[in-house]
Amino acid sequence: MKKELNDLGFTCSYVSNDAEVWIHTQSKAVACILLSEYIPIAVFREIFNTITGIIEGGDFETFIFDKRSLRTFHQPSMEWYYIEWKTEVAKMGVYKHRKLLPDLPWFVKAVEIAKLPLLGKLPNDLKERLDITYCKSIEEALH
Amino acid sequence: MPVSSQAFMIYKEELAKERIEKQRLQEKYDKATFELTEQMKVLKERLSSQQQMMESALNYAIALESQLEEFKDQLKHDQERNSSGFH
Repeated sequence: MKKELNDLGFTCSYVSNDAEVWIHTQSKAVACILLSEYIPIAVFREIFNTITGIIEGGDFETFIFDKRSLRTFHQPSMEWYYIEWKTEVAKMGVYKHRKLLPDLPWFVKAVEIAKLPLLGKLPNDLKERLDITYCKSIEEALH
Repeated sequence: MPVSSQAFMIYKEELAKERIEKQRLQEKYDKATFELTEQMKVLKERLSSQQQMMESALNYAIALESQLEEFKDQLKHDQERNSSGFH
Protein backbone atom coordinates (compact mmCIF):
# COMPACT_ATOMS: atom_id res chain seq x y z
CA MET A 1 0.00 0.00 0.00
CA LYS A 2 2.80 2.38 0.97
CA LYS A 3 4.59 1.73 -2.31
CA GLU A 4 1.36 2.14 -4.28
CA LEU A 5 0.71 5.52 -2.66
CA ASN A 6 4.31 6.67 -3.11
CA ASP A 7 4.20 5.62 -6.78
CA LEU A 8 1.00 7.61 -7.26
CA GLY A 9 2.73 10.70 -5.89
CA PHE A 10 1.28 10.77 -2.37
CA THR A 11 3.25 11.95 0.67
CA CYS A 12 2.60 10.53 4.11
CA SER A 13 1.34 13.13 6.57
CA TYR A 14 0.16 11.16 9.61
CA VAL A 15 0.50 7.60 10.88
CA SER A 16 -1.13 5.80 13.81
CA ASN A 17 -2.02 2.19 14.64
CA ASP A 18 -5.45 2.61 13.05
CA ALA A 19 -4.93 4.95 10.11
CA GLU A 20 -2.57 6.70 7.76
CA VAL A 21 -3.17 10.06 6.12
CA TRP A 22 -1.53 10.82 2.78
CA ILE A 23 -1.65 13.98 0.72
CA HIS A 24 -1.41 14.52 -3.02
CA THR A 25 -0.61 18.20 -3.51
CA GLN A 26 -0.86 18.17 -7.31
CA SER A 27 -4.36 16.68 -7.26
CA LYS A 28 -5.37 18.65 -4.16
CA ALA A 29 -6.36 15.41 -2.46
CA VAL A 30 -6.13 14.04 1.08
CA ALA A 31 -6.41 10.29 1.56
CA CYS A 32 -7.25 8.55 4.81
CA ILE A 33 -6.38 4.86 4.78
CA LEU A 34 -7.89 2.93 7.65
CA LEU A 35 -5.79 0.01 8.88
CA SER A 36 -8.02 -1.69 11.47
CA GLU A 37 -11.17 -3.78 11.33
CA TYR A 38 -12.81 -1.48 13.85
CA ILE A 39 -12.01 2.08 14.98
CA PRO A 40 -13.36 3.25 18.37
CA ILE A 41 -15.16 6.61 18.18
CA ALA A 42 -12.54 8.48 20.26
CA VAL A 43 -9.76 7.33 17.92
CA PHE A 44 -11.92 8.00 14.87
CA ARG A 45 -12.55 11.59 15.92
CA GLU A 46 -8.87 12.10 16.69
CA ILE A 47 -7.92 10.91 13.19
CA PHE A 48 -10.51 13.12 11.53
CA ASN A 49 -9.65 16.16 13.61
CA THR A 50 -6.05 15.68 12.46
CA ILE A 51 -7.28 15.56 8.85
CA THR A 52 -9.26 18.78 9.43
CA GLY A 53 -6.01 20.43 10.53
CA ILE A 54 -4.22 19.17 7.41
CA ILE A 55 -7.02 20.45 5.15
CA GLU A 56 -7.07 23.77 6.97
CA GLY A 57 -3.38 24.26 6.41
CA GLY A 58 -3.38 23.44 2.69
CA ASP A 59 -5.29 23.69 -0.56
CA PHE A 60 -7.49 20.64 -0.98
CA GLU A 61 -10.63 19.74 -2.93
CA THR A 62 -10.87 15.95 -2.67
CA PHE A 63 -11.06 13.57 0.25
CA ILE A 64 -10.34 9.89 -0.37
CA PHE A 65 -11.59 7.60 2.37
CA ASP A 66 -10.27 4.04 2.16
CA LYS A 67 -12.39 1.90 4.48
CA ARG A 68 -11.38 -1.44 2.97
CA SER A 69 -9.95 -2.71 6.26
CA LEU A 70 -13.20 -2.15 8.18
CA ARG A 71 -15.43 -5.05 9.15
CA THR A 72 -17.64 -3.22 11.65
CA PHE A 73 -18.64 0.41 11.60
CA HIS A 74 -19.90 2.46 14.50
CA GLN A 75 -23.14 4.25 13.60
CA PRO A 76 -22.53 7.36 15.80
CA SER A 77 -19.02 7.70 14.30
CA MET A 78 -20.47 7.43 10.82
CA GLU A 79 -23.12 10.01 11.63
CA TRP A 80 -20.54 12.44 13.03
CA TYR A 81 -18.31 11.97 9.99
CA TYR A 82 -21.17 12.18 7.52
CA ILE A 83 -22.92 15.25 8.89
CA GLU A 84 -20.55 17.29 11.04
CA TRP A 85 -17.17 16.54 9.53
CA LYS A 86 -18.27 16.78 5.89
CA THR A 87 -20.00 20.10 6.62
CA GLU A 88 -16.85 21.42 8.30
CA VAL A 89 -14.49 20.48 5.46
CA ALA A 90 -16.95 21.68 2.82
CA LYS A 91 -16.44 25.16 4.25
CA MET A 92 -12.74 24.69 3.42
CA GLY A 93 -13.50 23.70 -0.18
CA VAL A 94 -13.59 19.91 0.09
CA TYR A 95 -16.70 18.78 -1.78
CA LYS A 96 -15.34 15.77 -3.65
CA HIS A 97 -15.46 12.57 -1.64
CA ARG A 98 -14.11 9.31 -3.00
CA LYS A 99 -14.80 6.21 -0.95
CA LEU A 100 -13.41 2.71 -1.01
CA LEU A 101 -15.39 -0.02 0.73
CA PRO A 102 -14.38 -3.62 1.47
CA ASP A 103 -15.23 -6.05 -1.29
CA LEU A 104 -17.99 -7.58 0.86
CA PRO A 105 -21.59 -7.25 -0.37
CA TRP A 106 -23.05 -7.52 3.16
CA PHE A 107 -20.85 -4.66 4.36
CA VAL A 108 -21.73 -2.48 1.37
CA LYS A 109 -25.44 -3.13 2.00
CA ALA A 110 -25.02 -2.38 5.73
CA VAL A 111 -23.42 0.98 4.89
CA GLU A 112 -26.23 1.73 2.44
CA ILE A 113 -28.88 0.98 5.07
CA ALA A 114 -27.11 3.00 7.76
CA LYS A 115 -26.77 5.96 5.40
CA LEU A 116 -30.50 6.21 4.62
CA PRO A 117 -31.54 8.09 7.80
CA LEU A 118 -28.50 10.38 7.49
CA LEU A 119 -29.37 11.72 4.06
CA GLY A 120 -32.30 13.71 5.45
CA LYS A 121 -30.09 15.32 8.08
CA LEU A 122 -27.64 16.83 5.60
CA PRO A 123 -28.45 20.46 4.60
CA ASN A 124 -29.96 20.57 1.08
CA ASP A 125 -27.47 23.07 -0.34
CA LEU A 126 -24.58 20.90 0.83
CA LYS A 127 -26.23 17.72 -0.46
CA GLU A 128 -26.49 19.32 -3.91
CA ARG A 129 -22.85 20.40 -3.95
CA LEU A 130 -21.31 17.21 -2.60
CA ASP A 131 -19.78 14.92 -5.18
CA ILE A 132 -19.60 11.43 -3.68
CA THR A 133 -18.38 8.42 -5.65
CA TYR A 134 -17.45 4.89 -4.65
CA CYS A 135 -14.23 3.58 -6.18
CA LYS A 136 -12.36 0.31 -6.40
CA SER A 137 -8.80 1.63 -6.02
CA ILE A 138 -6.88 4.69 -4.83
CA GLU A 139 -5.74 5.29 -8.41
CA GLU A 140 -9.36 5.38 -9.59
CA ALA A 141 -10.25 7.68 -6.69
CA LEU A 142 -7.47 10.08 -7.60
CA HIS A 143 -8.56 10.51 -11.23
CA MET B 1 30.14 -4.12 64.27
CA PRO B 2 28.19 -6.48 66.54
CA VAL B 3 26.46 -9.40 64.83
CA SER B 4 22.99 -8.12 65.78
CA SER B 5 23.62 -4.69 64.17
CA GLN B 6 25.00 -6.35 61.03
CA ALA B 7 21.94 -8.59 60.80
CA PHE B 8 19.66 -5.59 61.24
CA MET B 9 21.46 -3.74 58.42
CA ILE B 10 21.05 -6.74 56.11
CA TYR B 11 17.40 -7.01 57.08
CA LYS B 12 16.86 -3.28 56.38
CA GLU B 13 18.52 -3.59 52.99
CA GLU B 14 16.41 -6.62 52.09
CA LEU B 15 13.27 -4.82 53.21
CA ALA B 16 14.09 -1.82 51.00
CA LYS B 17 14.67 -4.17 48.04
CA GLU B 18 11.35 -5.89 48.70
CA ARG B 19 9.56 -2.55 48.83
CA ILE B 20 11.02 -1.55 45.46
CA GLU B 21 10.03 -4.93 43.99
CA LYS B 22 6.53 -4.61 45.44
CA GLN B 23 6.16 -1.15 43.88
CA ARG B 24 7.45 -2.45 40.53
CA LEU B 25 4.94 -5.30 40.56
CA GLN B 26 2.13 -2.95 41.58
CA GLU B 27 2.93 -0.61 38.66
CA LYS B 28 3.13 -3.57 36.26
CA TYR B 29 -0.23 -4.83 37.51
CA ASP B 30 -1.85 -1.38 37.25
CA LYS B 31 -0.56 -0.98 33.69
CA ALA B 32 -1.84 -4.43 32.67
CA THR B 33 -5.23 -3.74 34.28
CA PHE B 34 -5.50 -0.38 32.51
CA GLU B 35 -4.65 -1.93 29.13
CA LEU B 36 -7.11 -4.75 29.66
CA THR B 37 -9.86 -2.31 30.65
CA GLU B 38 -9.18 -0.24 27.52
CA GLN B 39 -9.33 -3.37 25.33
CA MET B 40 -12.58 -4.39 27.02
CA LYS B 41 -14.07 -0.95 26.31
CA VAL B 42 -13.16 -1.23 22.61
CA LEU B 43 -14.56 -4.76 22.40
CA LYS B 44 -17.75 -3.67 24.13
CA GLU B 45 -18.14 -0.74 21.71
CA ARG B 46 -17.44 -3.06 18.76
CA LEU B 47 -19.99 -5.63 19.95
CA SER B 48 -22.59 -2.91 20.40
CA SER B 49 -21.82 -1.61 16.87
CA GLN B 50 -22.19 -5.10 15.41
CA GLN B 51 -25.49 -5.49 17.22
CA GLN B 52 -26.68 -2.19 15.78
CA MET B 53 -25.59 -3.22 12.28
CA MET B 54 -27.56 -6.46 12.63
CA GLU B 55 -30.57 -4.61 13.99
CA SER B 56 -30.55 -2.14 11.06
CA ALA B 57 -30.17 -4.98 8.54
CA LEU B 58 -33.02 -6.97 10.07
CA ASN B 59 -35.31 -3.92 10.30
CA TYR B 60 -34.55 -3.27 6.65
CA ALA B 61 -35.38 -6.89 5.76
CA ILE B 62 -38.62 -6.72 7.79
CA ALA B 63 -39.64 -3.51 5.98
CA LEU B 64 -38.90 -5.17 2.61
CA GLU B 65 -40.90 -8.24 3.63
CA SER B 66 -43.83 -6.05 4.61
CA GLN B 67 -43.65 -4.14 1.29
CA LEU B 68 -43.55 -7.45 -0.58
CA GLU B 69 -46.64 -8.68 1.29
CA GLU B 70 -48.48 -5.44 0.51
CA PHE B 71 -47.46 -5.75 -3.13
CA LYS B 72 -48.71 -9.36 -3.27
CA ASP B 73 -52.03 -8.36 -1.67
CA GLN B 74 -52.40 -5.50 -4.10
CA LEU B 75 -51.62 -7.80 -7.02
CA LYS B 76 -54.16 -10.36 -5.81
CA HIS B 77 -56.77 -7.65 -5.32
CA ASP B 78 -56.15 -6.26 -8.84
CA GLN B 79 -56.35 -9.73 -10.39
CA GLU B 80 -59.64 -10.42 -8.62
CA ARG B 81 -61.07 -7.08 -9.72
CA ASN B 82 -59.98 -7.65 -13.32
CA SER B 83 -61.35 -11.17 -13.48
CA SER B 84 -64.75 -10.14 -12.10
CA GLY B 85 -64.88 -7.26 -14.55
CA PHE B 86 -64.73 -9.51 -17.60
CA HIS B 87 -67.71 -11.72 -16.65
